[in-house]
Amino acid sequence: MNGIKHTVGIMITVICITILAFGLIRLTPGDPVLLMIGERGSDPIQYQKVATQLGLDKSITEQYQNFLSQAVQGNFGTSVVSSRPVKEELLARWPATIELGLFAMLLSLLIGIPAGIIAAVYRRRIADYVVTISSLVGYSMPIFWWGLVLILIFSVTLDLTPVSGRLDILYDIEPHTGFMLIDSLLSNAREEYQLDAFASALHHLLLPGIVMATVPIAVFARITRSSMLEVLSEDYIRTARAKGLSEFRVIMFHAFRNALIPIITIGGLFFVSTVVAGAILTETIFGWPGIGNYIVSSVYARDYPVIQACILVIGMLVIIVNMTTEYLYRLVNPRMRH
Amino acid sequence: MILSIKNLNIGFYDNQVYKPAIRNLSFELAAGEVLGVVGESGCGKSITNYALMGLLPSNALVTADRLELCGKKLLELNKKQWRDFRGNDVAMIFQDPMNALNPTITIEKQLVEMLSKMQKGKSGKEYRQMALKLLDKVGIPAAHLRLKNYPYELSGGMAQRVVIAMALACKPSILIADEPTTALDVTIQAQILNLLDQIRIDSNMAVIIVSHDIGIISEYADRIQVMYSGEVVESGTARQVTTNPYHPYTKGLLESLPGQGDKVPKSDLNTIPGVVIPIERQVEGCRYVERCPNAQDICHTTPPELIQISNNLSDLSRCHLRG
Repeated sequence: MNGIKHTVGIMITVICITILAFGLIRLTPGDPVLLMIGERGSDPIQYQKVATQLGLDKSITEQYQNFLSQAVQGNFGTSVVSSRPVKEELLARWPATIELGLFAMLLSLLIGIPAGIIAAVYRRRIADYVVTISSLVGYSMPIFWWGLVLILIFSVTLDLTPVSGRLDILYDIEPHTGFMLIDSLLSNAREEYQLDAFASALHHLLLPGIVMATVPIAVFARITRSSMLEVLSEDYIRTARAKGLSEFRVIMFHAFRNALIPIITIGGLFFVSTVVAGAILTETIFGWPGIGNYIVSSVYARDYPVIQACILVIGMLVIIVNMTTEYLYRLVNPRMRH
Repeated sequence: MILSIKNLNIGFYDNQVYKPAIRNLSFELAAGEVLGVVGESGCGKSITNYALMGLLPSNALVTADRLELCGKKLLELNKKQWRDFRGNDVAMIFQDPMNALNPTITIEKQLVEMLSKMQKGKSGKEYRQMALKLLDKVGIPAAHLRLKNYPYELSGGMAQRVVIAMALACKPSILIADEPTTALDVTIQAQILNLLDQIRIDSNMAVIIVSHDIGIISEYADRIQVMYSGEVVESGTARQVTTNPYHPYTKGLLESLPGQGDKVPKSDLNTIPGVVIPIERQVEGCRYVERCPNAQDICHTTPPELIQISNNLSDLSRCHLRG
């Protein structure tokens, strides 16, 4: 019963996303046809021809029906700008975004959660103040500015990190999966070359990864701290101490396990929004050839099919992350399993 | 003597201000003996227990002329020694069993965690057998089914039995039961107390049982210690304290039991007027004087000493007004 409710809920969400994806872009000012043929001295016959070609001469409902029936088959139309299928364009760019997103997620979990635990355990001591204040700063950091500052310091002044791109131009890696870290190791070059390329890919990920992870690190540190503080005052923590367990075991096995429940719920929700929003800003700043960057240029070009497809795919990603969150939540909370 | 305490003082630093809590507490406990500690909320019963477990917060200051448990000088233990001590020599069970067990860990894991600390290097199967035996011992039916349960799947009484099993896992020489039945149904209370008594007899363990209910305490304890605002006001054999109470506070507690007391009809409850004075407040005379029906001038000016009141050395009371 619950499963049916759940599925219906997801289907309604998906339909809403398609309406938004289709509708929002048509509400923005600017005519894609005019952009294509040039605004000045456009020939009405030429205009009509292009509009028909793009399917924009039909009524809105017809356009939506068209969009939907094509999307269900995995066909998102053709890009107005490149005249290549949108599907191909997206497939070529998704791995870059996913790679950066996963790297940022890894960073934010590996830094944010331990920082939160330390802050809670050493409450009202120096470590706590350091974590609390820096997470407040990180949380309120405007990403576009932060990215530029880091580029200025580490790339321009110190010359430690690359300014943009995914790989040094020295290396030529043929795409297999689209994930540069994996492709560099899969390439049929010498092992030394593979490792150098891998290091270069990692090197390029570093700065954008840090920029993208800044807000999530702060969010995870804050959630973890407050959640741990709440759990540490529970009776069962006193029991664990009374059993004579080591403080490390009390904190990591008894307290953290329970603190994970709110971390997963809130963290999952927050994560999608910060990563998706972060991807658009970070990729633009670092010239990262991913979806975020692509969305921005497509919006400028009024490339309707591309924007629609991107919003749709991001919406699906949000649903998938939410489902994963729910699954993890059941995994750590035995009361939810039945 | 398993436990020997002389002039124990406990206080807390609150923003660099020292606030005393326990004042000059002295008592002893022998193997197999049951000491009942009675008093209202906030009189310092739990603080004393936490001091014996080394579980006080870091702003607490504990001093004593002597504080020995199982031959160990507690004031000299370091962190590692405290960990070995807890669970090994002394174990504790708590007021609310539903919250005393970790909600996200199975009963089996919580028991085995304790067992593997005491007896290292056994196989998972052996630990499991040991855990089963413990659950059997505390009277849990179908123990093998319960092992895979999470705490929320148990009733309050069952959960308290699990807590007891966990406390017994290491065969402690002394068990501290902090209000072990307060959160349970009345019908379950007697079962749990009988179980504790049975285990005590079997293993010759000393027990400190803390409660605000002097009626429950008097049935199970050999000796009773009545505390009021951080001090012992009366102590003695259970018989002495319940049948021939000396201190007006003890008398008040006994008269407050339902159906007791001669001043009010059986259908009404007797009460002690007023509230406990805050544990940290310093007073000139007796700490109970504000609520005492027989207070005299001396009670306002001079603090009473704990003095012997019968032929028995351990029958003590802290009151100026003898007899």
